[in-house]
Amino acid sequence: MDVYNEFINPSRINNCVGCNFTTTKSKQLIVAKSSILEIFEIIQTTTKTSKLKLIDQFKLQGTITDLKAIKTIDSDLDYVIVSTKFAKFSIIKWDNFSHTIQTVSLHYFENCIQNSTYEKLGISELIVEPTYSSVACLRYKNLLCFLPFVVDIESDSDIDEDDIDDDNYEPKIKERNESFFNESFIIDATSLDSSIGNVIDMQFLHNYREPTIGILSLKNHAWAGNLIKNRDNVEYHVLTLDLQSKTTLSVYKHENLPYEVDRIIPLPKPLNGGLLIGCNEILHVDNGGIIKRIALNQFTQLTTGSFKSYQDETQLNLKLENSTVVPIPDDNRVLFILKTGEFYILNFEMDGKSIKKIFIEQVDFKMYQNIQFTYPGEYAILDKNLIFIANKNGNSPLIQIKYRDSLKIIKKEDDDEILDEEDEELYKSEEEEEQQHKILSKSHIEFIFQDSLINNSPISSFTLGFSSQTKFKSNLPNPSYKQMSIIANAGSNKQGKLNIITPTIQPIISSSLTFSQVNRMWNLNQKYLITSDDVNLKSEIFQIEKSYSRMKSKDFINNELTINMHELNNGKFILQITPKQMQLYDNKFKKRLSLTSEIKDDEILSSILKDEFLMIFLASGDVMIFAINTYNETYLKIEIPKLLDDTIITTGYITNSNLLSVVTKDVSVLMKKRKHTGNPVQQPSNVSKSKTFVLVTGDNRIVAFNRFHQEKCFQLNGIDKFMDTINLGFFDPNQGEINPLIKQVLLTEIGDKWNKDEYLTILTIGGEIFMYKLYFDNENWSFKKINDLKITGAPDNGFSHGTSIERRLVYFPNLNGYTCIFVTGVIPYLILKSLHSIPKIFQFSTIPAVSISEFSDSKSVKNGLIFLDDEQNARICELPLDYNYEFNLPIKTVEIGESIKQVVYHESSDTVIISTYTEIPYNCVDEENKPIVGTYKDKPPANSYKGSLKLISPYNWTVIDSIELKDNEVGMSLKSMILKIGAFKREYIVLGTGKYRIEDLATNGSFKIFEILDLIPEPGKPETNHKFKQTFNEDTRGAATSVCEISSRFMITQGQKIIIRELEDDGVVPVAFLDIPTFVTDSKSFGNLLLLNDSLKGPWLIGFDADPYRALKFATTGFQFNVEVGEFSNFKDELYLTVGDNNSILYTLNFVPEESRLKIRNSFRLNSQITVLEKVEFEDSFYNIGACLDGSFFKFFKIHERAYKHMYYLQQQITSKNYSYCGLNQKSYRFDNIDTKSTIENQNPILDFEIIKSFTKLNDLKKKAIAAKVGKLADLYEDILMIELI
Amino acid sequence: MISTNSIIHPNTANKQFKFERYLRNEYNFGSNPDRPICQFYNSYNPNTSCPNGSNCPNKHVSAMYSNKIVCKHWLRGLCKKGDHCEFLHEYNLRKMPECLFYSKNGFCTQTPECLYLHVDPQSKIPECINYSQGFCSEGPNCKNRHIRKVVCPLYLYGFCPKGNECEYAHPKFDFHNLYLRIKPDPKSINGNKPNDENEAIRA
Repeated sequence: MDVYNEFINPSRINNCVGCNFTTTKSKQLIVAKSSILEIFEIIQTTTKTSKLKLIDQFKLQGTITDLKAIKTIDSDLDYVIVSTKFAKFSIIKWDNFSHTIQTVSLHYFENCIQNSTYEKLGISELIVEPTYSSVACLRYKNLLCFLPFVVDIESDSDIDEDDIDDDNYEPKIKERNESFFNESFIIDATSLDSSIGNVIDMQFLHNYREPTIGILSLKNHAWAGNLIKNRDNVEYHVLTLDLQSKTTLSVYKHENLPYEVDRIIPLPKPLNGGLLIGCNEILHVDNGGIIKRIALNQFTQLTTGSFKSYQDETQLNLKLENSTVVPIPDDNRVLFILKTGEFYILNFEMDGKSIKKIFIEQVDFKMYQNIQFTYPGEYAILDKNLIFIANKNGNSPLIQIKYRDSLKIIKKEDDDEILDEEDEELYKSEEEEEQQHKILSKSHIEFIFQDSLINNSPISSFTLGFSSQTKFKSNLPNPSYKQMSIIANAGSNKQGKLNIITPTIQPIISSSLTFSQVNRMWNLNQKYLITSDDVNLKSEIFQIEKSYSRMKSKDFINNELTINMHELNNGKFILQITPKQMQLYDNKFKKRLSLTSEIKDDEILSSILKDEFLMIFLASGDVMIFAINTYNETYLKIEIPKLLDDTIITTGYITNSNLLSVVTKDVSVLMKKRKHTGNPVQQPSNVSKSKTFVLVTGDNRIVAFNRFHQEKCFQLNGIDKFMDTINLGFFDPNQGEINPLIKQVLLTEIGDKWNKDEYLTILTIGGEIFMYKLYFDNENWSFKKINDLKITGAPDNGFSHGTSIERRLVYFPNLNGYTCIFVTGVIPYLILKSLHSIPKIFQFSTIPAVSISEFSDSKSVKNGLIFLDDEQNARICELPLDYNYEFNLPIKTVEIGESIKQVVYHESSDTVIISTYTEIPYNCVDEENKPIVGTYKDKPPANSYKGSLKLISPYNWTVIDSIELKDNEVGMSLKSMILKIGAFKREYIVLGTGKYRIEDLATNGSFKIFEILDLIPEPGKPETNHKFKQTFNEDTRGAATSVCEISSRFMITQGQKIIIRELEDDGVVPVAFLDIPTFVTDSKSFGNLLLLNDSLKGPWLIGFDADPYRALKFATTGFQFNVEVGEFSNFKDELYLTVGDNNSILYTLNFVPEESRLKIRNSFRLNSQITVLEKVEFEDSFYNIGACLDGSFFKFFKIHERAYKHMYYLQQQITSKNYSYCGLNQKSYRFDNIDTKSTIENQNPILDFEIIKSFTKLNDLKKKAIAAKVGKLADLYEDILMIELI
Repeated sequence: MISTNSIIHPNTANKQFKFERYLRNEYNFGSNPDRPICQFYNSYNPNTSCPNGSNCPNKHVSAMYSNKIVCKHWLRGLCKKGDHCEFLHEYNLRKMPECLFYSKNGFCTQTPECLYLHVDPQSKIPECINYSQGFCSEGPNCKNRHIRKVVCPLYLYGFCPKGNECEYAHPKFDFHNLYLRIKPDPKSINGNKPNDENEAIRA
C-alpha cells in the first residue's frame, strides 16, 4: 500500500576517486552520492578555469560505501571498484560503445561475513593496494576479505628498461577471460600476526615490491579509569603479504603509541611510509620504520607517556578530528584541512631519500580564498594539479594547486610553449623537470577555486511555506501566488544555509499584456509582436516600441490565422506562413516575395526555418525545403532524397549537427560489424558541424540527410520503439504501419553558458518527452536515451488533461544564459541542462502556456521570454538566476553563516524563523559560578554552543530580528502553533531550549513563547516590518527537547516528563503530565493523539483528553527501538505511524489498541538517516514528506489497493527483467538485513517509485511485454501519473 | 480568528478512525477533547445512567475527578486504583490549591517543580475599569491593573456580531457605577461636604 518516492536526490558526496575511466588522456572524477554514481570530466572554459562536467549519472540499487580505482592491462583504462552496503563490491568499466558503465565482476561477502560474526553487519571498508593494484581487501572490523588480482609479472622486465621515474611504471593487471582476479579468501586479522588485537585502521602502503599493509590495532582498551596506566596501548604493524601462501612477514612494528591514534595515511612517492594521525598528534613512520612525532596541542602530553620524544608544536593548538589529509601529488608536502576549513601543510625536509625533519605550518588565509570547508571528506587527485575534495557540510570544491614563485612561473610558461610546439619535447626534458621539481617544493602553494558541486546536506529541519504572498504581479494574477515551497536548512557552521525548494520555476514577471482573443504570438526582433487568432481567423501586428500600437500593413495577411512567423537575415526580412500562403516582407512589412504558388492546393501544417532554409510540412504528408535568398529576393527549392518521395512526412527539424559528420565521409562504418570493446573514448577527428535536415515519417522513423545529400539518406534505427541506444543506419524505404506518435522533434544543443551538448528531443502525441544524448562511440555518432526525466504525458491519450492545450517544443538559444527548450501546454515545462547535471524538466508555472516567444527589451528584460496563458494574458518574464537548476526542483540558496537547528514558517506574518547556534569556548563553572575542580586552566577550553533565534523576511531573505540565548543554551525544538487563548486562536512560536554543561551538572532547559509583531518598516527597508515579542518564558528541569501542538494546547517534553499546557491571557497553565522514558527526540500530534519518539526506547502513542485533563499512554512497540523521527499518516479510516530509526530504516507502524501495541507493518532501507518527517494533506488523507542526512527528500504515501497491486507487479517485473547497474539487487538493498525484532506481516512491501517510474522510459517492446503481464498500459500510466502528481 | 493554510498548519482534529470505538469503551476517550460532558451520565451510577452506555459520544466523567486532593502515588506513576481511587488523578494546575509559600513570599524554593498553584500577585489585582474604557486619570499610580487591549470598533458603533468570540475588547460602559459607588467620607469634615458632593455629580 505504501510507495516511497525520492524527489530530491542526495547531494552529499561520500566517496570520490579520480582515474582514467573513460579516456586515457585525462582523469575523470567519479563521485558517489549515497546511491548515485556520477562521472565528471574536466573542461576548460574560456576564462581558463577548469569546470566539472557531468558525463553521466547512474542510480544504483545500493548505498555506495567506497570507490576505488584499479589499473588494467586490457584497455589502458582504469576499472572502478564500487563497494556497496553490506560487504559487497562490483568492479565496473566504461563501455564506450553504449556510453554506459558495464559490470565486470561481482563480489559478495555479505553472507560469509555475517556468518562468521555474532554482530549485525555494519559498514565495511574497502582498500586497494596502490602501487600495483595487486590486491583488494574488504575489511569489516577484524575480518579481512582479500581479493588478489593477477599481476602481469612478465611486463615487469619491459618496464625495467624504462626510466624508473616514469609514471607508467606500474605493472598492469592481466585480464584473461574472467580471471583477472584469483580466488578470494577471508582471514581474521589476528591470524596475520599474533600480536594484533582489535584493528583500528588498516591501509596498504605505497612502493613496496610486495603488497604491504599497515595495521593499527590495540589489545587493551583505554578508558578514563585506566588512562594513567594504559594510555599508550596502540600498536602499529607493517606486514608484507604473501597471497599465495596466505602468510605474512613482519617488516617492523611500533608499540606504545598513544591511545587516540586512529588513522593511517599512506604516503605516495616521493615521501613513502605512512602518517599515523590522532586528534592531537601526527606520527610519521617511513618505509624503514623510523618514527617522527609531532605534538600539535597541549593535550598531547595527557595522551601519551613519552611526550619527550615529540617535536613540540603545541603552540599551533590544532585538533585533527574529522580533518582531511591530502598528500600533494609529486611534492614532499602534505596538506591538512581541518574540520573548520583551515589549511595546514606538513613539510618534509628531505636529504636524498631520507627524511631529515618534518614540521607543520599554517597556510595563509589569502592562499585559499573562496575555498571553505566544514567537515571535509575524501579527496580525488586529478590532472593538471587539480584536486577535488568532498565537503560533508558544504559545497565540494575543485581546487587548482598553483605554485607561487615568480621565477618558476616564468619557467613554466617557457615549458608550455615547448609543449605546444612539440609534445615530445616534454619527455626529453626530464632532467629539466627534475630541477623544476626542486624549485617546486620550495615555492609557496596557492589554492585556486575552480568549481564546486552543490551539497544540500545535512538537513536537520525543513518547513513548508509560501514562496510568494503577492496576489498580483503587473496587474495579472501572480502564477506563483501561495505556492507551497520547502524551506530547508543545509550545511553547518560557517557554511550554514537555507535552501528554498519551489515546485515550479519562479519567473520574474516584469510586465504584462492582455488580449481579447489570441492563440499564438511571435516577437520579431523586439520590434513587432504578431498575434494570430485561430478562432476568428485573424492576424495582427503590434509595434512593441510604440507601446503596442496596432500597425496597419497592406500586404500583411490579416484575414487568416498565422502558422508561423520567421525572421531572415537578422530581422531584415520577415516571412509569414499561413495555411494557404507564404509571403516574404521586408522589415516594414512591404511584400517582397511570395512562395504561395509552391503549395498549390495543399495546406501547410507547420514550418521550420533555420538560417536561409525553410521547411514546410503539408497536410498531404509532403515536405518542401526552400533556400531563400534575401539578397536578390529569390528562392530555390531543394529536392529531398528520392528515397523519401513516397514516404509520409509528419514533422522535422533543421539543425547544425555532428550527427552525419562521419557517415557522409565514409559510409562503410555502417556496414562493418561492430564489436563491444572497452576502448578509451577518442575524440572525433573532425568536429565540423554541418547543416542537417531531420524528418519524421508517418511510421515514426527519424530520417536525416545533409544539405548536399547526393541522394544519401540515413535513419535512426529503433527510434520508433524508443530504444535505449540508437545508431545510424541506411534508410529503409519499406514503410511500416502509419500511426504517427511523434509530434515534434528537435535536434539541438542545450546547456548553459559553460558548455552545450547536442540532444535529440522528441515530443509524442501523448505529451511524453524523450531525450537522447548524441555521443561519439569512437567510430560514429549515436544516441543514448536519458532515463531520469520527469513524466510529462502518457501514450494513447492516457493523460488527456495534460494535452488539452497543445504541447509544442520551443527552442531558446539563449534564455538568460541557458540554452533550453520550452514545452507549452496545460502544465508548461522548461528543459534545462546545467553543467553538473543531466537535462532536467522543470514545471515552468502553475498556469498554462499557450504560446511563447523570446523577448528582450532595452530596459529591464534581457534574453527573457513572453508567454501567453489560456486567458489571453501575456506575461513578460525572466528566468531567475539565483535559483539552482541541478536538481529535480529549482533550489534557491540563502547563506546564513551559522549552524541551523530548526526552521519554521510563521504563516500569519509570512516570515521564517530559524534557531541557530554557534560554537563558543566553554566556561566550566558550577551553579555558583565557581570553577569546577579538575579543569585545566592552562589548556584551551572545550567547545560549547550558544543559540539564537532569527527572524527572516522572505522579501529579500535577510535577518530582520534576532534574539540571543544565554551561553550554553541551544534552541532544540521550534514550532509554529495555532494555540487557543481564551476563546480565540492565534499563531505562536514556541521554542524549547536545552542548557548543556558538563556531565557533573544537571541539564536544564526552558521554553519560550513568541509572537511576531507587525511594525512599520524602517524607511528604505520594506522587509523590516516584523519583530519578535516574547510572551512567556519558563525554566524547566531537564532540557525541553521537543515541543508540539496538541488540540490547540502545547506540549513540552522536559527531561523525563511531558507537560501539556494551556495558554491564558497572563501566562500558561499546565493541565496534564505523563512520565516518559529516556530522551524524546521528536514529537508529533494528530488531533488529540500524540506520538513521542524516544531515541532509546521507541515510539509511544499517547492520547490527550480535556476537562478532566488526561494524558493516556495507549501503546508502545514493546521492544527497544531507536527511533529518531516519526509522523502520523492516515488513509481513509486507518491511522498509520511512519518512523525512521538510526539505522536509516523507514518503518510503518499500526496501532493495535487491543494489545496496546504498535506493530511494525513493513520496513524499507534508505541511504542515510532520516532526520525530518512531516505530514501533508492530500485529498482528505495525510501523507509524509521526509528528509535525510545526505540531502535527499522523499514522499511516502499510501495508494489504493487496486493501484498498489498493479504497481507491485510492475515493480517485480522491472526488477527481475531489467539490467541493474553494478549487478545489484533491489530486494537486498531495500529489505534485507533489517533487524525487526517483532513479527512483520510483510505482505505488502513498500514500493520504490524510482523503479516504477523507469517503466515509462523503457523501450516500447519491453513496455508492451511487461504491460501484457501486469495490465493495460493505459491503466499503468494512469496509476503512475497519479503517484507522480501527489 | 485567523485563517490558516491546511498544509502549513494541517487541521487534524476530529478524524474518525477504526479504533476509536475501542478507545471509547476502554478509556472513555474521544477524538475531540473539547466535546461536551454527557448530561445523563451519573458517575455514581455509571452503568445504567446514560442510555448510550459506553458508546456515548459525550464525556462520561468518572467520580474520581470530583475528588479534591491529588493522589500522591499517582503523581509518581504508582497508583493502581485507577478510576476507583479516592484521590484525584489529574494534574491540572488550575485546580491545584494555591501555594502558600509563594503567595506569602512572592517566590517559592521549589520553583520549577512545585505542584501547587503559583498565582502571580499581579493577577490578583482587579482590572481598572477606567483604563479599559479608554482613559484612567491615575495613570501609572493607579492601584488597579491596566491591561492593554484594543477596543473593538464594531462594538463601539453599537453592535459586534462576534460577541464573546471577538478578539478585541468589549469594555462595559456602565456610567451608573460612578454615581452609585460608595465612597468614604471626605477627611475634612468642616463644611466642605456640599462641595464634594457637587464634584462627585460633575464627575
